[in-house]
Amino acid sequence: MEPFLFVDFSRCIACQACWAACRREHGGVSRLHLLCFQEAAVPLACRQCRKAPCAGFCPEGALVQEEGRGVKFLEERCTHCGLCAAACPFGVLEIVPGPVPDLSRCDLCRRRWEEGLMPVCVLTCPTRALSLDAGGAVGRRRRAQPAAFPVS
Amino acid sequence: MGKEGRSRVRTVCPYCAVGCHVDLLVEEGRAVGLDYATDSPVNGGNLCAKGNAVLDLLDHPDRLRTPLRRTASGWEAVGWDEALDWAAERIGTIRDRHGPDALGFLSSAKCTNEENYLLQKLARLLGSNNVDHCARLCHASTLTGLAPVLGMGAATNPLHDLAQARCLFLVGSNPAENHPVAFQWVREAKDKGAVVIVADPRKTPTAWIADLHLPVRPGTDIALLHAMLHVILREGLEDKAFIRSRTTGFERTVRAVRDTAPEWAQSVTGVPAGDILRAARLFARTRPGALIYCMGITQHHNGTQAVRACANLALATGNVGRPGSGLIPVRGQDNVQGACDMGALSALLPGYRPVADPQARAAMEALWGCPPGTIPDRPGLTVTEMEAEAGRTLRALVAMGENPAVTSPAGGRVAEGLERLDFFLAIDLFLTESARSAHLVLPAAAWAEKSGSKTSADRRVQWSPRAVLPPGDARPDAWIITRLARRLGLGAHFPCESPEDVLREINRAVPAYGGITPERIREAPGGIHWPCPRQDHPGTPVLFEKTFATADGRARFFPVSFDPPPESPDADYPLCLTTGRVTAHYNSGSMTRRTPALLELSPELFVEVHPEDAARLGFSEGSRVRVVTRRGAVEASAYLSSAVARGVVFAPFHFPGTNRLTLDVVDPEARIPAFKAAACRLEPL
Repeated sequence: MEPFLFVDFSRCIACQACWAACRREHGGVSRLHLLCFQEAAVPLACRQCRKAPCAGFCPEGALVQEEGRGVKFLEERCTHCGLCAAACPFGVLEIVPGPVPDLSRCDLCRRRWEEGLMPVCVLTCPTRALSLDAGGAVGRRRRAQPAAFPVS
Repeated sequence: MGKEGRSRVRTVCPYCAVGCHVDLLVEEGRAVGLDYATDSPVNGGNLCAKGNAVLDLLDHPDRLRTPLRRTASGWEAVGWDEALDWAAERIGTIRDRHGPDALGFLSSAKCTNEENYLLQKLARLLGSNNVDHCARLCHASTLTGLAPVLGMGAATNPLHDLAQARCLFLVGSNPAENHPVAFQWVREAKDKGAVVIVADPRKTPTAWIADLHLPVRPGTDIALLHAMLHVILREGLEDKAFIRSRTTGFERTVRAVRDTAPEWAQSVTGVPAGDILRAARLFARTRPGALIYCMGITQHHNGTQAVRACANLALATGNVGRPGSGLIPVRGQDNVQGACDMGALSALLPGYRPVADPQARAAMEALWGCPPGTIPDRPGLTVTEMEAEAGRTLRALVAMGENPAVTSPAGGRVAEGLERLDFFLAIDLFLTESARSAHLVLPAAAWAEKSGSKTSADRRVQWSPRAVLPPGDARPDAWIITRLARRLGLGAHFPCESPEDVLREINRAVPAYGGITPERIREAPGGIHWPCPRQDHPGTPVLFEKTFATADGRARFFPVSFDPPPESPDADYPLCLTTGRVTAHYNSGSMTRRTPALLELSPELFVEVHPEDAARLGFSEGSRVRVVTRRGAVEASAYLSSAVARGVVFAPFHFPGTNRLTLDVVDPEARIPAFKAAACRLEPL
């Protein structure tokens, strides 16, 4: 399984720190979306799908699956057709309009990753609602959550 | 570390009072980025949304870059010498003509300890105690409420200590939105099985994790707290040994809560009696427990009494003076604790010594080298009193980093008062709503553009070094005050050239800061908690472990009486308006409303209304409505949410307008305005 942003939304307090950190790190557009409900909030970002529909649908090969590192964006190939955004089942990929349209999709702070640093949203989150996770840990943590409620 | 020519400078965030570290990445005197201080013992790298957006304050296009003098044809840029000469001439002339009480000084919880110390010193050397700051608007009732109870009005335990609590009772406090980084310790306590009780008219994100949410009607907290104490005493759940060995005055408090049963409180507060009973039992039985309160308690016509009601509950359960317990007023601004400590208050000298105390005055006069009798023996005007007197007995006002036209009650009247002044000097980062009325505006340096110490909500004194250069000709407030003082003929008393020198003077002026030398705090990774009276003293994270700071070393119970808010909903104004913060903004918004990321999150004034109230009044989500009280009316967009109780309307106070609606009533002791409960009506537009 690719590493991805694990969200424990029972810990999220809607403080928007992740959103603000992501926006700052990525030139003024957050790649993470915080959905606020009446009594809960859910940060949503790219799931780093192993067989990513966005990459599969891209007619120009601008989104390329890299083993163990998620989907890489090759800007020079992108025509901003928007098929990738339409294909994403989670709605967490967008074409950002502007003089030079940009693709907004969580890349786990690839620039930082290459320097051995954690994504900014993970570092800034005060309640540890966000973590970088991979492999079997995800299933174990997901199981533990609903199980813990009736017990405690 | 890192790239060539780039340095990393650890600063203390300029927003709230958690005191988070923010690492700035600096190249050639300019900030090129920020990074997370993951090894900080304070915040472990976490930052809130505002903390993530701090860089926007540096080099912001709206920053003031040169002194500005108001002329008939608009603002005229002037040099520093001309500006300061003129300011000194005007202040000196007004003092000579009308006496020192015609001068007023608004100090600032946004400035360093050194700057607050210098400004109150300037005011007092000019012969006026008219020096105050915005603590008057947020936690003045904590000072007046707790000082006679505990001996001092400050958080008893460090914020990270909340993680050790087994019960957390938050009253009128919403750290999840207002102090998100501090909420991690609430969350950590909950992870370890702590019980969380939240009393708030709204089901805030703080209340999301509560085991019990008590939606109390605004302004009725005393009734709730009294009913809880009533249950605790009725069921014998109080900490008898603690009460006997460490407190006095318990009997009178017992009598005060004899008739405050939960059934009575239900009719007053709207909280079901069964929930009050449960809350009382949980809080009394689950020790150690921390009681966290904030402006939902302090900003009332009876704020001082409400603070004491909190203290009574904490004392009766033995929850003061041990780790994991405590009375925690969470302060709002990065240095509001420090500004109070430094004596930027109209009745208190540095170190909380009353101006009425001859020995305290004599000690300060000796330290400052001024003739006996220089410091007046009567308290000066508070923030709200200065604003009311502006253009009347008060002829000149110096406002350092304050924006009263937005933050004070009856904001419209305050703006008129500012216009009537003979001389109004504003020192600020931006041309705020208030500064627009000034005769002279001086450009100040922001947090990272100057060095100094700041004291966070939990008495943690930290050094924040200068990391970058100020924009244009902006200067640190300390530089400005010192030069102004020298031009006013007080140069002999203002010899300090650096913030370090001023802190060394503070070491001698404020006993609790005696051992907090520049050399020590510059090297202390997590600062030092005052009191720290000596160089070899480690600081005091938890207060009152052995003795209280009162004359006899015991805490005092104060019987409190409940009286309802001066204005209750009626036929003409059927809803209750309460105010507070949103996570994206900060106080008057002069910084956050200029920050694109934060404006994107929260662009304009809104009112939060229960969907049933909205349906009855005939408007829907996003509608424009007029909010009307007896003081005024403003327009806002409607945000419908069942998080707010029926009959209650919530408005954030970060936008001009909200405080034109609030009550123009103050607590008689603390002189804090009653921002939190007013009667209003909504008119769909």
